[in-house]
Amino acid sequence: MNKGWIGLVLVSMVLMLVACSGEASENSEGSQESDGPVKLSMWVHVSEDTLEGKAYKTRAKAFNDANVGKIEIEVQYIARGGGGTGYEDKVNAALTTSSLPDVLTLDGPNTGAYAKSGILLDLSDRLPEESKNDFLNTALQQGTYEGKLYSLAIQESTVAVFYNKDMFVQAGLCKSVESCDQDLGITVEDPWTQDEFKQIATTLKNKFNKPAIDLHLGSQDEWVTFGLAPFIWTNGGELISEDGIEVQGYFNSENTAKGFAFIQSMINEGLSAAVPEDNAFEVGIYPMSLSSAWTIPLMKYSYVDTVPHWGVLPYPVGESGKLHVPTGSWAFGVSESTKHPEEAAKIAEWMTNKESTIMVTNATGLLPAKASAYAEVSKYKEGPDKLFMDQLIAGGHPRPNVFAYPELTFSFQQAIDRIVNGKDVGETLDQLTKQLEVKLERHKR
Amino acid sequence: MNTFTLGLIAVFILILAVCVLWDIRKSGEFKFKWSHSLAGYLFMAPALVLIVLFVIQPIVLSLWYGFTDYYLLEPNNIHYIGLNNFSSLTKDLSGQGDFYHALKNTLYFMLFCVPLQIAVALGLALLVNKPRKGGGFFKVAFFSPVVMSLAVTSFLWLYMLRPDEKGLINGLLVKMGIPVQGFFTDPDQAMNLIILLSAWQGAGMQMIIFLAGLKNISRDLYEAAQLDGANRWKSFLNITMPGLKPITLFILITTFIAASRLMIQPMILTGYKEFTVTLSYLIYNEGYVFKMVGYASAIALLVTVLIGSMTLVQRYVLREVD
Repeated sequence: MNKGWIGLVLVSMVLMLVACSGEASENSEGSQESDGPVKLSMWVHVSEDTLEGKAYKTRAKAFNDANVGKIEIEVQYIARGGGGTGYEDKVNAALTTSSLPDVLTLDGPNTGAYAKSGILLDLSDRLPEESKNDFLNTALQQGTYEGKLYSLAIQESTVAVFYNKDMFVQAGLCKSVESCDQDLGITVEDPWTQDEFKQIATTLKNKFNKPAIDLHLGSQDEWVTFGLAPFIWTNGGELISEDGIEVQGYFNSENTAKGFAFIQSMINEGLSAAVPEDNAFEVGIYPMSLSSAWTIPLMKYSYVDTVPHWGVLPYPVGESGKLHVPTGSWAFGVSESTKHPEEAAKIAEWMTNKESTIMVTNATGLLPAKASAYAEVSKYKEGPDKLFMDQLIAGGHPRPNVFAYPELTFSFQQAIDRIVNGKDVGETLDQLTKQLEVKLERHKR
Repeated sequence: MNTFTLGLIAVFILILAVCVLWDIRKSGEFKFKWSHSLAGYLFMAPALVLIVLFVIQPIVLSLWYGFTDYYLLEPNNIHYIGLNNFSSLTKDLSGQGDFYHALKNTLYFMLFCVPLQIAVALGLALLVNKPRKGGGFFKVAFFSPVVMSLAVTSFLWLYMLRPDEKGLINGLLVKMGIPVQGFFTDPDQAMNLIILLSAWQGAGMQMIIFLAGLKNISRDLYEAAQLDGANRWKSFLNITMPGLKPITLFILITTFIAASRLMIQPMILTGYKEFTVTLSYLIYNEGYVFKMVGYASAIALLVTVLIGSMTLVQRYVLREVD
């Protein structure tokens, strides 16, 4: 035999050895040691030094202390970049190499796609009934795909209208900053209609010669769908069929168009801006802002000087006459591939139990996902937090839990982009519906 | 050991085998010197392993994925679907969907950015070519944007061109009585601005190459022309231009290919917008945001063919130059 071939065989054998040893070392990383506790890995989407990260750390440590010698969680903190990069890139990479952790966090609307692809473990029968029933309805809906519970909400969130009481007084909309809430008389039980909302906005615009409300239309992320989809729902519109397969007659229905047309009219009439000034509400330039509960701590601590008196009003109601507000936040799920489903489910439950949701929402300013936490914390009994919570319970409408959610929210953002730049609503929706149909077709396999 | 690793080893062995066979053929039949060749292969091995892992394997895989329904969430459930991805692409194109916008924007960018960048680079090269006082400073200054990361310069421009009065440029414009401009938020301005600042950032590199080309043109030619009474413009047209032709072809093709890969600037400056999305950005979006790896690979394949054939056409048209 020729010597060259011997060399070839030798080199390839060395390579095989390297490859095999790589595989072997992977296996030796297995999570169970002979006697010690079962070690499970967990990924969260925030960095360790944020308030939210610290809350997870504290709760994970509490779990380890409560389960000494039995189960141990090791948390890995992977910060999320803009537009879902960072953390989600890491999850994507882990998927292709089958190296997902046992427990992981995911953005609520991703539940459908992850569940359909068999990445998440069905937790329906792995949770104690009382724990399951303690979740708010909206949180359960968000975590459920085709009747099975796949993800457990860490917290809830929704959107309302923040308003500057001093500016409202100056515009003659209320008598004094103290009585502003009563003067306006807009409550969750009796919210304002879109027409009333527009009237007030027009008064404010005429008074201050600035857009009346910051709809945060300049943001490039999930906010657009999260914050603005209720305008579609409250007019009786839908974005997609419940099974997530049909968009024709949903995304471009007459009622859906009404919602989009309302948003467009806000821009056309100068009541809102397609490119709002930075922090326009927080620094006292615009009198109103459509935002989530994360703005509460900002207003309380960071913008006391610029906007000392502010309040919160519910989301305006459209033609259906029913209050619709967005819901949903991040959730915990258990990877289907975990070797310890029971222990992993226990961790997911712990990380979303009453104590955890209270601690995490304290850090983020968002709302608890458990009824017991809501009942226990006093701040939900009055003020802006109460309005947010009441609104969530009265009109919470989760975003569609469908496998093609990324495509859907993308098209929604494109639609908003086009209509605020003056494109015809009907034409835009028809065109995007057709494009969305092509995208949905690609999912057929 | 999974099929992936096995496939990799197979490709590696194949390449090595080709090398060895080539070696044997070259060195005459079966007069192969084992001791000589082993060292050679060992020296080659690290580079070869890396090339196979990070260049050849991805190319082969994406070629294959372009004909599959690979969905990132289901990496173990990949089927061959023939040309479905490509027919989906044509549907997207006819419905003026994402691919349509990406293709249009990329072509627009290439059409305007490449000539602009080359012209700027040539201009700068001519400027700094003449020995002047402080000429070294300008050479460094013109080249410095190339050294900076695209993300960093993009953010700098983003802050300078903010769409409100707080932006540096808008602040100045307002003081001069010109209304606030939308810049990157304005569908009519965004792509043109991206072209301008891409040319600004990239031109330094081509300037250096042009400079090398200028230094290669013999000074005697200019002196002879001067004696014959040629003015500067005539010298430029008849000496400088022909002298730079071969280097211009190189610059044209490399700039053209670089322009076809535009992604970071629109990503940072505008985000995914119909008026600035490019083919590379679209591929990223389809593959990572929608997780349709198969479809994204199909687009990548098509783009490769497209850019490749355009480059060939360029070479053909300018063939005399070579």
